[in-house]
Amino acid sequence: MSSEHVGVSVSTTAGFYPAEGFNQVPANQRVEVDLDKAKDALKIKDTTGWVATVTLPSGKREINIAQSYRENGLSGDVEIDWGPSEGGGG
Amino acid sequence: MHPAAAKELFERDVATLSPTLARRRHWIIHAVEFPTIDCSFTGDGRTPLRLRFMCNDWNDLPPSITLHSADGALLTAALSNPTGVFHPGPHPITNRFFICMRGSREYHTHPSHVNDPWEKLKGTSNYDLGGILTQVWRAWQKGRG
Repeated sequence: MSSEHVGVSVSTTAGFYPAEGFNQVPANQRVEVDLDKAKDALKIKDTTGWVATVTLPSGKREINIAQSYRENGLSGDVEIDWGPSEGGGG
Repeated sequence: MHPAAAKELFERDVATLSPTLARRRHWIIHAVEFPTIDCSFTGDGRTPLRLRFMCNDWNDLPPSITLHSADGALLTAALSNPTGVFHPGPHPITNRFFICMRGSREYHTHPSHVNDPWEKLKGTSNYDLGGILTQVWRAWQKGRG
């Protein structure tokens, strides 16, 4: 994989996008482009309030989906966990 | 909800709680068989938290969620967590620690929240079984120990 591309796999409780492996996408592409594709492919009705996280050697962190993979400091194969944020406690 | 319809909805929701998802999220899925989901959250340096979702009458009712140690015993001490999701006191009906979060049966039957009905939430992506599991998991990740 060139440094101009990243491999992307999105995991949700509705399934994975792509179903197996990683999609190769430009590193300067906004993360939300792939999340929109995942939403359509997995037939997710509503993603309001969802957050995207990645797990790095330094730990898990939330990423800015309006920014590119490169702007988020991501490279190589990227496993994005996408789902609702923690519920509000009562 | 007719039991057969509840079972069908349950099985549709849990069909994608796959071993791959569990591996990525460091969950241990002990059992998924209607009407129960038995799942542990694990993480580096964390004491695992095991949850049992009792999904009878899904999705006319939200799941009743109980909190357990790794061996399956009910928790006897409150979790340290800043989110408020893991209520430090007993539920007035079950007398157990409980998940105080929209989407848990204990939240919607608590006297403080009976004006926040489940009917407004059910059927939405955030409040299918995977969505509720994810919300509780993300709250657990905010804690320590």
